Amino acid sequence: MSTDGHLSDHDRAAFARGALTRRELLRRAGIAGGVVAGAGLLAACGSGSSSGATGGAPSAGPVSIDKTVAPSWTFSNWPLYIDTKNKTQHPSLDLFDKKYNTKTNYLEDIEDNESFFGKVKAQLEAGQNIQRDIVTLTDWMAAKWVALGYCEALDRSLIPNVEKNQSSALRGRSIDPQDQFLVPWQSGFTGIAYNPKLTGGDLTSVADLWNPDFKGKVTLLTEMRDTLGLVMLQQGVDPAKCTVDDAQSACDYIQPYVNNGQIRRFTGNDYAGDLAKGNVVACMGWSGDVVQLQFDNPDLKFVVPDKGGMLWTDNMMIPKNASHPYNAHLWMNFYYQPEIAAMVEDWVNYICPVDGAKDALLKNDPSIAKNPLIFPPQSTLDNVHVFKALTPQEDLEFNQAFQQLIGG
Amino acid sequence: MNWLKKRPAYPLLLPGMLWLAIFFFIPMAVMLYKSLETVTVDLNYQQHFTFDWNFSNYTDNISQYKSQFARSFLYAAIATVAAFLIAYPLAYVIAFRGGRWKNLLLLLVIAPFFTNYLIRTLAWQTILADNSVVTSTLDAMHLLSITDALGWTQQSRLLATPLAVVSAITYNYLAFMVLPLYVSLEKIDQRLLEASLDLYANRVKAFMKVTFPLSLPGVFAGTLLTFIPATGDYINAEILGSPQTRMIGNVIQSKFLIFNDYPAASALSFTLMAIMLVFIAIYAKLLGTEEVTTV
Repeated sequence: MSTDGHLSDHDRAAFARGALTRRELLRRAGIAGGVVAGAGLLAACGSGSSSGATGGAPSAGPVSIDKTVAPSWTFSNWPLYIDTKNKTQHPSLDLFDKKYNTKTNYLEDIEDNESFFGKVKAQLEAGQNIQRDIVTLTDWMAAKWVALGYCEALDRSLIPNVEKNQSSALRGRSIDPQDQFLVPWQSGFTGIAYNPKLTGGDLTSVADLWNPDFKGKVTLLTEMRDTLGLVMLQQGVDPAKCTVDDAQSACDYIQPYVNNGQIRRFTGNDYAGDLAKGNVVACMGWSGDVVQLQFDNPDLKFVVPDKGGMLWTDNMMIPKNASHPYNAHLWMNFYYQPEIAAMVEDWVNYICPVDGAKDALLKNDPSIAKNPLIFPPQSTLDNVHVFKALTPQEDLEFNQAFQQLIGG
Repeated sequence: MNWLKKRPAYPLLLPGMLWLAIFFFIPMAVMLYKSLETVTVDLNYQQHFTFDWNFSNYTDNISQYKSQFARSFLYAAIATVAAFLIAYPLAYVIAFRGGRWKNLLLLLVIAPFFTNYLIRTLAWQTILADNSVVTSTLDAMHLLSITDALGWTQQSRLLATPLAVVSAITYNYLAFMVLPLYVSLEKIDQRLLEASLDLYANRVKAFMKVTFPLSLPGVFAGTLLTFIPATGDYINAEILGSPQTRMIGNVIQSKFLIFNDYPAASALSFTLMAIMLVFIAIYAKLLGTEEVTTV
């Protein structure tokens, strides 16, 4: 989970004038990244190389969709990313199932953008159905799917609530200028999660992770943009403008801590278990996860590092040739009702893309509104960054350096 | 159709050969072809593979990942020996002293396999957690300071150490060692043992001269069934390991699924197979039981 784009001076100025709400500003930050990605796309189109026989340019208009509700459909998402009751029930999905008389097959099978893509790539390339009707991917990966033509165009007429309630800051992003393919699910921060009882004090920066007392009790993320982003910020490099050399120097910075065993593992969402069990005392993590873990273990803390944290948005999209696109549209539309979004938000605790969800939430659970991770203060907003859109060549070289670091 | 009269059994091979052709030889050929391709990425992130006899896939990747290769063979070898040391007495007791409990005991050996491989391995995460009973007990007995000194564990913890990975591999493949050993021990003719004792061999000598040699086919099969999959295993290192315990299976997995660098992954897979074949050939020569090598 990390993001393309940057918080522009223009946006900050607009915020200062009161023209943008705090949340809008935050969301807007998640967007601009696409500018660079968009430029890459345009360049690709300009050169006329729509390349791959089965991939190629995004399809232009919405395909006509059979408007019958399928008896079941599949939604792939990240773990701990929807409202949950009694470990296995998801009230918002249950309401949806009841209303439309369908059965949602909810999979928590995305732990890492790259490895999820790796798993389904061959099928997408061959034009096969990947047996999922919605997948939820982070901006930069979503941009890749759009570029490769691996997602279906949305029928906007089927999602009036998205039309009405989608946060203006998340509309017309350059990774999807016409809002043809992506519907935002959540935004959030990458920072440092820790257990102050076990660390014996507060952590404020990435450098604090290297305290010899925490040897073997620190984890970093397998999401390259998150781990390298935080380290680059620590090194005083802006991840929105980084180069291959910066990536290499970030890896070189981390390498000794891998070699001496300071870093126990590189993880996806599974750092949550290690942190909760006390196997890990401090780690890189995602804001909303930590808010959730706090319900079981109120000691846990999340901090945006003093030298900067990362900001990203995850997006729902319909994979190419999905079998039940109508159900997928219905769900997107259903989720974009403020009350339903608030239900999810109350549990998920990331930053919600649905206007009005905040008001709905304030009525039901005002404590959430006081949580600085969900409604962040200006100082936090000033301190979060987005990872630049990498060119395919950079993508390869960044990944090579990073994979080398995490053990091949 | 004269040959059919002379060799009436050949058509019976057909289903097996067809199976092998479709699911083994053709994929192998495809993989060999892939391993000599070059991958390029265009501006649309689309990967293109061109076949150009790119042998550097082999040389580059072998030199880059030699430590992961070495680690895989080392871990697999230790796990195989450990599994053998655990399995032989177990199979021996079941075969010779099991009596009417034989079937039940065998069932107990296989019972863990009714649980999913992944779940069994994940359970070890809990068993070996830093403040688990196992860890604190071993630590209280000062065993972990010994393994720390040997480099098998770090900071007196078990999870995310070589010891955790090797132990879990041993556990996960134990049944593959027990079953062939049991079969070979079980069919030993008891009268041969009686004869050796009649000829004034003591129990140890009878074991060394009669029982063990007759169980060699089981030893051979068991070690191969353990060693080969253990070398390519990546789940245990993934779930219970750290960056310093990554095995070649982890590298191949990430090359395939994260990098989508199929040529590199294929080259590494082929190299792994080649090394394994050489090992097995030498091993077969050394252990050389007739039943296995003359087939």
